[in-house]
Amino acid sequence: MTYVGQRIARKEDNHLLTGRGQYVADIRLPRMVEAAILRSPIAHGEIVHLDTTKARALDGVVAIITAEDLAGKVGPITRPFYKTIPDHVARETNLVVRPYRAQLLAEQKVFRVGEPVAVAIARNRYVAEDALELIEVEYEPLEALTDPQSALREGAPQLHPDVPGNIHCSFHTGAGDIEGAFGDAEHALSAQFTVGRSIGSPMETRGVLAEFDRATNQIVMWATQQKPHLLRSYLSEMLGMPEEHIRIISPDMGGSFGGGIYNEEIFIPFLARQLGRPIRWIEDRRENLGNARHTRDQYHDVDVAFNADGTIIGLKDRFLVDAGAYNPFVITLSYNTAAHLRNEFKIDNFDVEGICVLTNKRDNTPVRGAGRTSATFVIDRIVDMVAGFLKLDPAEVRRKNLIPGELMPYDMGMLYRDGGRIVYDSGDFPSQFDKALALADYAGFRQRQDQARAEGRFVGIGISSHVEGSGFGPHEGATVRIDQSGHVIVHSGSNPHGQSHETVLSQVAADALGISPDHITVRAGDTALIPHGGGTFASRSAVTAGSAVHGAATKVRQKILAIASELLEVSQQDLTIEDGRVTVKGAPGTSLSFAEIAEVASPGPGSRLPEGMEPGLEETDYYVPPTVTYSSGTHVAIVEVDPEVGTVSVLEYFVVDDCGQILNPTVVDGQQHGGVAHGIGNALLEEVVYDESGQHLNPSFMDYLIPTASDVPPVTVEHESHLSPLNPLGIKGAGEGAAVSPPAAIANAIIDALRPLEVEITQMPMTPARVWRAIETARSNGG
Amino acid sequence: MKPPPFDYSRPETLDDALATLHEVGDEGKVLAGGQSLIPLLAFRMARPGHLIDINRIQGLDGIHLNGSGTLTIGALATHRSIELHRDIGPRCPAIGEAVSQIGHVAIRNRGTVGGSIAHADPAAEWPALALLFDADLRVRSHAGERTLPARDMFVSYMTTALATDELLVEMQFRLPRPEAGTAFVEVSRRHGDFAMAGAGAVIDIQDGLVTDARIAVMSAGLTAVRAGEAEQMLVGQEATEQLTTNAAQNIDSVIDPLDDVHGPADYKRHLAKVVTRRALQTAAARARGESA
Amino acid sequence: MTSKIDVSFEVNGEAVSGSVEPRMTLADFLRDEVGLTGTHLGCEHGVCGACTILVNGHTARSCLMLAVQADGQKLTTVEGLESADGTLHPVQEAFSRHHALQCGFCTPGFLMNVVEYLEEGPSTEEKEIRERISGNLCRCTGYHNIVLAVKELAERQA
Repeated sequence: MTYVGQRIARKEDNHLLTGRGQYVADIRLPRMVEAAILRSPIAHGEIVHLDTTKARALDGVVAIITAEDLAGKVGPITRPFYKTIPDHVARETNLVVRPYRAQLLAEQKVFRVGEPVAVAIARNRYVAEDALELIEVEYEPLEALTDPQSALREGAPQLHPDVPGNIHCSFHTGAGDIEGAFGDAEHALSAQFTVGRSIGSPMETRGVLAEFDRATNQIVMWATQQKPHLLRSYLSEMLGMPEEHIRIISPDMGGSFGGGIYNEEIFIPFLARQLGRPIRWIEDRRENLGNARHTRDQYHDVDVAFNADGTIIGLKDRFLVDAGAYNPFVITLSYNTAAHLRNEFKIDNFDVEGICVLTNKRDNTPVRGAGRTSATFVIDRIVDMVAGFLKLDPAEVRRKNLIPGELMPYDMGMLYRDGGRIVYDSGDFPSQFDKALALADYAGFRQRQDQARAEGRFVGIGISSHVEGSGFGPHEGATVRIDQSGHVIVHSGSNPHGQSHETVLSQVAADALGISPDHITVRAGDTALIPHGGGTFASRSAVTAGSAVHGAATKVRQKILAIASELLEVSQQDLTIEDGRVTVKGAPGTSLSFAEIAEVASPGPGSRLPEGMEPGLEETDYYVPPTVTYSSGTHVAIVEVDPEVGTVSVLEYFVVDDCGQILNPTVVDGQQHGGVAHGIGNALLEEVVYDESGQHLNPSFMDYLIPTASDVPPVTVEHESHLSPLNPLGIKGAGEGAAVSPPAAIANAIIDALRPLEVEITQMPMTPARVWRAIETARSNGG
Repeated sequence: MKPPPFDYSRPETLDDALATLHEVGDEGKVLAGGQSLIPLLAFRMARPGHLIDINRIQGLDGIHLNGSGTLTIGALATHRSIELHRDIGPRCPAIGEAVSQIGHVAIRNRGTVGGSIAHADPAAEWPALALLFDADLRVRSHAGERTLPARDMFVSYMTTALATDELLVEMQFRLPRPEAGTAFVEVSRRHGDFAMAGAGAVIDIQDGLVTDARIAVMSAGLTAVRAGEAEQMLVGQEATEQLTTNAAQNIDSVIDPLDDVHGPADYKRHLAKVVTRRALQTAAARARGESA
Repeated sequence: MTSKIDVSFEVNGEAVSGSVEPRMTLADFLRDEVGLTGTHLGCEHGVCGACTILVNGHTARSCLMLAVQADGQKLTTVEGLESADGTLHPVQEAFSRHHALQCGFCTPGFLMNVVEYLEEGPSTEEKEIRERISGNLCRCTGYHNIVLAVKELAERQA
């Protein structure tokens, strides 16, 4: 391969560097008006009075919309965001899912702070916000449930009539013989873990701009949306319009990190159609922090069985997910946690139960890492606890439990959510582990640590590894076309929000076709480009879109060769393609350019195609993965703790990553750097805080702390690539994995730094206040 | 997050500004650097009827340090202009250390010293510095002028002794003699964030004994405060590690931190003592001429 | 309804004037009235730094200024960095070469910050560089490559 694997400069950069990016908020249309949303100030209650008279009377207001205006015209979101879980998965995992009724705008009740109650549409956003202040609403507060434990207690209010006990969904599954393992084990220990609530908070907030054209009966809508095709199918159903009449454009996006379909993406286009004017709604940061969906927020109760040499033989985990007010992703997040809980370890006896409990908080849904961050925090802390119990070095216990390279591919004995068995398809975990420890100079660190301790400094080292089922289906599509000038156009169903699709997909197409990426244009993020698309989530784009582009480009190549073979009267085996020319081997003078081939391939009297061949150099391929592919990585963190104030500095950070075939190492390294920073945020800084009445206490960037350059160390990244056998290029996903391990690695490093004090940490984020408290607790216990 | 409507004027002279302040009464709010006010407007947590933008008034941004240690700062001097001032940081490390921890450069380019003191955020550095250096605050109104000692300025949370028609125009900080040690220490979640606790200290030592001790604590109650009792413990004594530690423990009676999203009150009380001790010990080391 | 105020200033060397409600932020004016949408709004409360521009050569958060405050000032936005012939500013070029941007949303704010930093005679120390850019938030790059780009620019100047 000439281009795949190379550090090709990004095609995306120039327009983004010069201020020519086009994000939703940058687009203005003639006659456009702007929306602002009135949101519930209380966590749970009945709306007893709602009066919009004064707001309607304000100069510049176009409309004030409440649930009454939507009734009978557009209903709530009812479908989950993924296709139904396959029957055999539901059966084998004892899946229970209860129905609840969501709402676009609050009807009689509000279920969380921030739930949309009314929409003001006005000349501009300033006036729209003025109008919100004139809407009169009276609420009768009801008891708010702000954690799953209180939502489960007897006598707790039931939030939805068909969700008894507030348990929206649950599953119970496992592998091997868990009772036998605990019966045989020489030791066992238990621990509880709390994984705090965080939020993806991309730098661009969400936004929607919708326009309805009465003449063509079409909606065109720009949206910060990772899954434009899915949104189109929702809108088609909910607005009663053919898919063909709805065009969703995801323009430049300022990150995303998690998502799904949002109410605003339904009612704004509905209102644009209703009012006959383009409407733009741009989420502000306060709305984003409170209302873009949250993530993590789990409580784990774990038992582990192990032998005196450190071998873990059984693992049990029962965990609660604080699902928030609605749970549109159902078990996506919780099952991800279960599926990845055993990480890179050979733990053949396993029992896991995940319970999603509804509360009066924002929905808890997948964000970068998607359930794996929680799983990895739990298991990597457990492994270190086993080491601590046995007074062994954590590295020794970790290595002992890794799945040996020679056992790969390894069957974990349970199902993945997509219906496939969890079989780690490729990788060599011990080798990856050794490489990471060498990179971090683990052995040398122990000496430096002794020296630091002698100086009264508390430095520590921590390890975490992770696997990631990546490249989720069900499909992804790409079209590759060569125009009359010989230029290549690639349309992808998967659209980027920073991942460099233009660059890396052009590399894939370039190799498949035999032309430089400079002659390739990649377009994505527009449902008009290709009929079916998945989107960018679940570390899937390189795997699925990469494979689809490879497939489509390969088909075009075959067509080019067939045409050239006919024109040049040589067999296809005697042709090569280089730099956009088909050449007869050994006869460099005899060649045809892509433009020349495109010309004879075009329809019409001049067409000179082989018998039966359709005109045009255009092919579409839909790649359907058999199941996910498993990327993995090992991280090593070195931290220093100031035990007097509880602050933690991450001094050094090392990553060894296995994402199979790398499309562009610069891009993959960038994903690693960003993922590590996100993970450091989850480890030390980021927490969405609610009080006991369900008020959201930190809806600003002053109090919701995402990492700055000063909070992140340089990150050293190396790759150990084992190709996946599941797709043509051997790709495994690289987008999310790096965000998974930092909390576990850092927790283990903090404990290592504070080893003389025998501190225990079971909660993330590890804020200074919590680290200080843990130290105080250890000291008062005589540690 | 768009500001609510307000009227606006931008007087060219101080007299015009004072006249407008008087005229609009309770509805008036002064816009200096705007780095605290505009976020409050964006969240619609402040709703002034009339904004008086004083940035066009000439002569309010002076900075002057004289030989006897009086540092005179005009209300519109920016944090950044203090930070970059050739003499202030070397002469008084506490000011340099405090100012460099105010937000980030873009904020310090526009935020003003007078604005910070008039805003009276207990987590802001300038009120603590004003207390630490016994600043005199020159205040003007249409009716005249008065001088307000900093210790009478900070009444409660974001509340000052300024009347609605008064404008803070200048501050005079009384720096200790150059041989004295000063320091300002903060603990914050991230670089540039509001501190979870902060303290400034002055220690002067002559013939081995403390002749002047000052402690100002911020982010530990409704206003920044001086810790008089703890200061008194040090005066006339040797500034030993033990004594400075004990003095820092003795700030309890003047601080009253509250729980917030970054930590519970008892943690922040502990932090206040830690930063006080660290500031005292650094100041003492500097007074002794040790590199710290 | 409060009365509108006339405002005129220079942005990227061109004269701009308009009549604005006093409450309109400079960021909104630049984006919605002048059409310079390269200045991005990430938080509208002065924390994220995406809206950073230069006012008379010094960085300012354009969400923390009212448009009326820009009257008579000289502003530079990201659109003013590249040369008329399309040559990238050295900071833009370094960001591209080091892969110091992914989604690009925070990038204009970083560029303006770094332009000012380089004007001041920058430190080449990594800690200083990190502190200097810590007022600009990025969620994609982990800052690693941004630091490398700035370090190289600073070293080139040293």
